[in-house]
Amino acid sequence: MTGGPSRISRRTLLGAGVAGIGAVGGIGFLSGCSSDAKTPGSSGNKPTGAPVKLGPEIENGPKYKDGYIGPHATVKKPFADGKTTFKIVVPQDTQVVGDWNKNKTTEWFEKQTGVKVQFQEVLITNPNGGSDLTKINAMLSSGDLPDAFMGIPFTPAQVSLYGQQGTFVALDDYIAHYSPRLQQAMKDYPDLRGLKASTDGKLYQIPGVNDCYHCRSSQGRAWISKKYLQAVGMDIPTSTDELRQVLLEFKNKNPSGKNGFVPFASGVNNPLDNFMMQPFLYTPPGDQNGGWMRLNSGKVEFTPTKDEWREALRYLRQLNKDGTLTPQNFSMSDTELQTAGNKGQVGFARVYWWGSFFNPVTLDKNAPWRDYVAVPPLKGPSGNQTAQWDYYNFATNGLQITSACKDPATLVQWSDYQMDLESTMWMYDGIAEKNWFWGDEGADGIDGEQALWRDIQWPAPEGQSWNQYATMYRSLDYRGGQQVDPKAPTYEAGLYAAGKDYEKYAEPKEMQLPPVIIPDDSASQVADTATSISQAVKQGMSNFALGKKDIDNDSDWKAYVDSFAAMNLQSYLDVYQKAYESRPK
Amino acid sequence: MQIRDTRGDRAYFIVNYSVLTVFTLMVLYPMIYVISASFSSAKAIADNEVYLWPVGATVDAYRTIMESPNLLIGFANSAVYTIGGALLGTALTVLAGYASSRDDLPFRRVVMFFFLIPTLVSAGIVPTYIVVRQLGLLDTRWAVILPGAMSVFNVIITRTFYKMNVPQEMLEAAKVDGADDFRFFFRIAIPLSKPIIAVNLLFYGITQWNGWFNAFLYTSDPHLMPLQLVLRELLSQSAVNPGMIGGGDVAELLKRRELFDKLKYAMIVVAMIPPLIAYPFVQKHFVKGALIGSLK
Repeated sequence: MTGGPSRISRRTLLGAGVAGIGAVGGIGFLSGCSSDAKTPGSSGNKPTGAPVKLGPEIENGPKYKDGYIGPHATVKKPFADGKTTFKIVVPQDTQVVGDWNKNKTTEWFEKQTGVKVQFQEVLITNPNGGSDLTKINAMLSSGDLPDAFMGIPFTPAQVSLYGQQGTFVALDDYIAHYSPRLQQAMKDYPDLRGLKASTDGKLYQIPGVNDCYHCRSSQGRAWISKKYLQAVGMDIPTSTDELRQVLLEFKNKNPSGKNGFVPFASGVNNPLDNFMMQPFLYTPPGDQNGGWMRLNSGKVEFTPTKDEWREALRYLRQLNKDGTLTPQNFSMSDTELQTAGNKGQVGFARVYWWGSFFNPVTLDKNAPWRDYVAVPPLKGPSGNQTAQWDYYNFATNGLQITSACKDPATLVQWSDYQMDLESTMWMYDGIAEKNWFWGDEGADGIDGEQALWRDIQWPAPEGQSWNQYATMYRSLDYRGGQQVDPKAPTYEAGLYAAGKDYEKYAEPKEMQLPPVIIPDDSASQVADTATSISQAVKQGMSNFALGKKDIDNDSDWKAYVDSFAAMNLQSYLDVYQKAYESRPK
Repeated sequence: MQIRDTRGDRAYFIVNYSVLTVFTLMVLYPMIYVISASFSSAKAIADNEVYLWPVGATVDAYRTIMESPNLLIGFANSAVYTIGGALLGTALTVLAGYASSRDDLPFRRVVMFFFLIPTLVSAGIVPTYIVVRQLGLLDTRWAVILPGAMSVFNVIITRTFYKMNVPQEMLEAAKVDGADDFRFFFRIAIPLSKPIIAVNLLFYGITQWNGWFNAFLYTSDPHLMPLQLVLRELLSQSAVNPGMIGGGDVAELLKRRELFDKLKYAMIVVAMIPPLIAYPFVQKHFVKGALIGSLK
């Protein structure tokens, strides 16, 4: 598995009797590699020749809608001789990708590029679905480096660190020369580079784009049952007052006719503040990793101590007095939400999407989830009306090339070929003309315009696709170009419509704090503070809303506000402010 | 005439049986629930309808698991690792345990202290990884079996067993009859220590059967994966992490959840069966080995 000369040198090292002093060997190996990478002149190590240009469009390609922005399907010529085999570490995924080295897309892509790759699969998720980089970190720290990593969820901070240590290679020069598609993507998405660059301003990874339109508003959406609204003779609420009336009607008339009806559902993983605070002020979502911070003329600002937040809490308290907001709203687990939804016991829900309170979500025409529509952002008493809108969640991790790679240029170009439309389709959806096709002439996509492509099923059957681990360029228009079948509507069109409803009320872009890299020396302190802040915000919200603390009592409010000062909120905000100001562009 | 139990005796029995019944139920119910749930439809589980017996009986989950390409490989690998790990671990432990139980072993304390060092201060993942890598063990079965093959805890138990059951006097008697150390060890010490050997086999076997970390860290070839790692991978492919909600794709979420709802209980059952079968056979030795002391 571990080919290449480094292995041999290790063996001889062992034979020479230096074994046992593992650290020495490891460091020697590491430094040997980084000096390799800095030596110019070795084959293809610095851009040579004319910059790579895109080929013409392929024949019988897709039909692009007017003003289409995104990947194109162009003629791809193999550029490598296949003499070198690159070792690339990828996530293990036996359900979708199967054996990476025997995968159909792997085979197709090798023909397109001429690049031979030996994939090494590493399990990178723990049973909770979170990422587990234990093995990746062991490889990196012990100097057991592959040529590159692909689809590994490194945080920007990790990439930044490994890049500045010399483990990952800086790629700007290569991209300028070998990556016409990525250059185009960076023009189409001017924020892309800054989101994935390192604190020293360099780019140590090939970024990708996965721009999901409805996801930009998904954190803060709410849903309401049209059927129950009709039953109580009300319309979709447009303001906080109207919502209060609707909930009261729900509670008093119980349109479901079932015991245990929940007029207003929300829960642990679907916190209510993402929707309920917005009629009073724009506040981003938050959790134990941070959040609840926005920009106010370039200054980082903490929202849960603002007066408007207090107003919002007063409103929640009122709902609680009405009996429509209960302790359940802070405690319902995902399973409880789904059980309530399946039984038809939910009136109004502050959740991500139908699947949060229905399980399973079938595509049956009369499936109960189809009764629920998105509630557009409410208008507050002072006229505020905002939707949480995420301007920055489109950037993905593509490829990180390590100092062990003798020929980064080839891998950069290899990665760029993945951002071609045809490649993106193969990688995402498997075999062409079998699991996916170009869009039919005149058929509509999710966004209601000419469809770009359609597929039979996602994920593709095992062994065909690369799931979502490739360097991708899935722009807004690409994703919106997925053909919909008017006879069998899926949830995608509904989610798109919900996105449209929310986009109108999106907060101005200057108000969203973009993701920043917290410098290593303050990282642990920031993480600690974020955890305490998250607890205090959540506790404060439920205490005031449920009347355990009196929201109209100034001393209770002051104690709440002061509790943040005790957590050193100011220095926490200062770290963010500094990181924001010095962020890579 | 039957002798009547005293009131105290009866009270004792009643209390005893009640406590044991409660305890049995506490252990039994989760098992029955898991087995029932594994045969229930995903919808019934989502709606919380399963209490004791399967609802909407189906073998879908088992079919998916059986179809998972790596499962059979995983089973076979786990068997290899379990048997290999048990034999190797037991052999090392018995050798180390017996030797360190002998009072005439020079530097006995030093040796024992040396054994204890790695349990007191562990080097951590990275140095161990470097050692395994430099020994050329990465991506071999040895990487699963060798690191941590011998547990110092087991050595201590075994040493204590020999101290108590194979005393100095026995060795002296054997020596008078002309036995040398090897003869004594193989002819007398080993036959006398069947219980502790059984216990060691069970301990090491179970550890290997339940183990996934060595394989996870040191191998990346799916053909070397033990069952627990196959199951872990399945589980991680199906888990929905709260952080994904909102950022991820709906299709991805749905795919994961369907898989998860289908598989979670069946996987527990699959992993549970072999130890469940093995326990009763080793149990009698287990009690003896861990509890019996002193000469008979």
